[in-house]
Amino acid sequence: MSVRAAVVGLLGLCAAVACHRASVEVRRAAAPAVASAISEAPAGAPVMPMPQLGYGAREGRALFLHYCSTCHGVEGHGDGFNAYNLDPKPRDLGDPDFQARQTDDELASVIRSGGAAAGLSTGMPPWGKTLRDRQIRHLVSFLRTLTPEEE
Amino acid sequence: MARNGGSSDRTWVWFALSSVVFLVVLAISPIKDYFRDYRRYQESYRQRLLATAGSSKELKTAEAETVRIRQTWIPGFGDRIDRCQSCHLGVENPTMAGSEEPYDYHPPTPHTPGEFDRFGCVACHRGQGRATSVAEAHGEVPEWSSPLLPLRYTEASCGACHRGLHVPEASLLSAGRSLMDRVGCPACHKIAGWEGWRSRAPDLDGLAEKTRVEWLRAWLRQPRVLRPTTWMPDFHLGDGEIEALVAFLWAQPARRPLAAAGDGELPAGDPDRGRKLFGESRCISCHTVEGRGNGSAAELSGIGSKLSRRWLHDFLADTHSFQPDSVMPQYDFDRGQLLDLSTYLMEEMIDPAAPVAASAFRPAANRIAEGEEIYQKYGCAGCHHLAGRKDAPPTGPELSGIGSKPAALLDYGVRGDLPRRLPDWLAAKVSHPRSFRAGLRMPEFGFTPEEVEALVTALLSYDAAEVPDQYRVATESAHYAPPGRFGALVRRYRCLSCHQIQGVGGDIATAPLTAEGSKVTESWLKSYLLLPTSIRPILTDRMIPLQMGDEEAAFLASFMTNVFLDDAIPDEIFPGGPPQEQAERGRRLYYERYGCHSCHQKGGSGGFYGPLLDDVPNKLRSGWIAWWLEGPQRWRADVRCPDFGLDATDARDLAAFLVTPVPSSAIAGGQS
Repeated sequence: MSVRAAVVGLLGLCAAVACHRASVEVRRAAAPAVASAISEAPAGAPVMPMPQLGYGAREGRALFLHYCSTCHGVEGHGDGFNAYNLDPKPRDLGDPDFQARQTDDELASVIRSGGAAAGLSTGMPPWGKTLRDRQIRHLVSFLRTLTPEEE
Repeated sequence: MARNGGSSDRTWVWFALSSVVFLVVLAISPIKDYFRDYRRYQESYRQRLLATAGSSKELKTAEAETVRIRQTWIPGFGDRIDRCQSCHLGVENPTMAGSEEPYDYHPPTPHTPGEFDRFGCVACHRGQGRATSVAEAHGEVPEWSSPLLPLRYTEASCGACHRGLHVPEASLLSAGRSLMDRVGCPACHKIAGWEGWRSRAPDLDGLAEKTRVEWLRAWLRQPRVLRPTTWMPDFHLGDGEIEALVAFLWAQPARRPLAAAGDGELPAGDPDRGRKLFGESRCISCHTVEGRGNGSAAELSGIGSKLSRRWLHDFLADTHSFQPDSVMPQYDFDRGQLLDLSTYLMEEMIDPAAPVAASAFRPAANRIAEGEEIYQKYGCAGCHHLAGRKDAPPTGPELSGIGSKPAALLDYGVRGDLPRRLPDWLAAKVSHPRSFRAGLRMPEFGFTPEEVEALVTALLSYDAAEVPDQYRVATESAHYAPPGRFGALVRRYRCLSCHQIQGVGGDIATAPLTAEGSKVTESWLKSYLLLPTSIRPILTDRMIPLQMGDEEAAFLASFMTNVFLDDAIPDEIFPGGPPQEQAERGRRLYYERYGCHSCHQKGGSGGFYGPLLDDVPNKLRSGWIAWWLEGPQRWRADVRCPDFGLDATDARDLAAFLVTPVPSSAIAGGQS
């Protein structure tokens, strides 16, 4: 009798373990194992609309407002307070033609080495010794979020 | 055991059966592991590497890749084991930038790439580091105790080690913590690290002589109707509560009696002279008028509808006896100026929305006692002080550790609509604190969506996880309290409200004073204290003329130019005057090579971004100019003048040009 009890007990234990394993599998199946592993927004209904600039663009925006906006304008249209003293004037950075023409590396290069190094005006100073490389990358990320000035 | 054959056979069958079951159960784990996602991802990643390999070395590296659990073990950081890179294979491989997840390259941050071995992944992103399946690692499961932090809030994790208000390269977290400081979360909530927080709200003594009862009622009903930019939140007080609170506040005596018994006793001033004085005094260096100005102090456009003129007059004359902790400096206005300025402010700064009635009001004793209860119930004393009262600090729930509170422990009240996730709960809480149930006391702040995002990030940064000491970033706990006459003047004029000395002080002025003596001449500093000219015309927040006396200005200038020195900065480098040759070379550098005129105004031309440079010969020491030019960010990390990487020769030549007094016609001719 005791043997039977032991065997039944053992089987019961096995079944319990298997059930637990199965429940893990079920839980896994319940949450979709999508390839895009990190989801930016929670899946539930958003509580309120929120601005969704990524980290790089957000940091870039802060840098842009601090160092660049006085000439380039808060929205990058080349209409900052100091733009009126400059010749040539800063361009509209949101211009789609300009955005399409310039690669990220080219934009980063002008920020890093200044206008003169690219055959442009000395009005655009070099920032490569003031900003770190990744900060210049952040600035480029932010520049890519700019849109042209509306008429 | 085996007495007869039949029983023995049965036992054998049982044993055989259970052995098979055992084997199956033992096989479950390896089989499960075999089908884990990371194997598929690693195989796919290897194929990508093979396909994109540009050299035989890269090819060999790709071929050598084997499928395995890739883990980072960090014994010095709570024995962390992060296996995230088993799937996130490209985080350290720049060539994978822009790939879809989980192969993407980690975007650059101050700690990545380069410090994965020091931090791992979970320290910033949270989730379950040891898990090897997507769902278990990310915890995208309701009520999960350690879910992945949504990407937009990741900066919260910077705050685990960086406890200060401003965290470099974490603009959202810094904005959130600054907002917590400004709106005064620590006034009601205990938060570890905020113990020394002090409110900037005005003291409430003597309101009966300062304002009108109609104004106070309207203010308590909806502060933002009277002043849209106020930091005072809306407590949604009922009419009865407002009446009681008004009675209590009306009964609080003034800190000091007013000189005039009524506004009629004060002679009228000249509002035009007052207007001129208001502009010259640069009040909008801190205040705003219809939104224009620095904004660190109150909007002034409605104060004529709020204040009594006699209070305003006496407040301007003796500011700190009314508001001992105010950041506002004491202006040394004379009698006539006080009359002109108070007349102008009372006549011009009228708010059409404010109630116009001004009735006499005598609060009933029972109402006063009732009002005191309201005052304590809503924790008014958390932000406002009354002389002679020691009110217990308000007791909102402690927020230390809120950033890692499991969703299951949060009180959702009637908000069944909210996702069971901490960030969503926090966003709803700061947006609409009263929506959770009736009877809550937390006021409504009317935050914008951007402010909510920043606040949630900041609140998530106060998690309960212990950070080892070697990971903690020391917060600046600088202390500067100068003694003697200099100290008394620094306090009277509240220099530290705007300027920083040895890392202490406000952030309105761009000029730290720590080494001011190495920078400017004594004569310039004295004249600047007496009549601060415009250094940067672009700014609205400029140095204010404090109307101080000649002797005081001379004392301050002498003290600062003799004491506030930095030995690393050379003094004069042209004792015999700047050599003409060097100055000429500097002129060419200024205009042609470095384009300094884009930002600086000199000789009637140039930009208005940087300081005006015409008075440099009288103002700046040549050694400081050269030192500055070789690395402006050494003066202050966020200086906007770019570091051009000048060598010592260029820096000295430019300094020679700048300290050479040149007639403006010569400069204009030099520009081509």
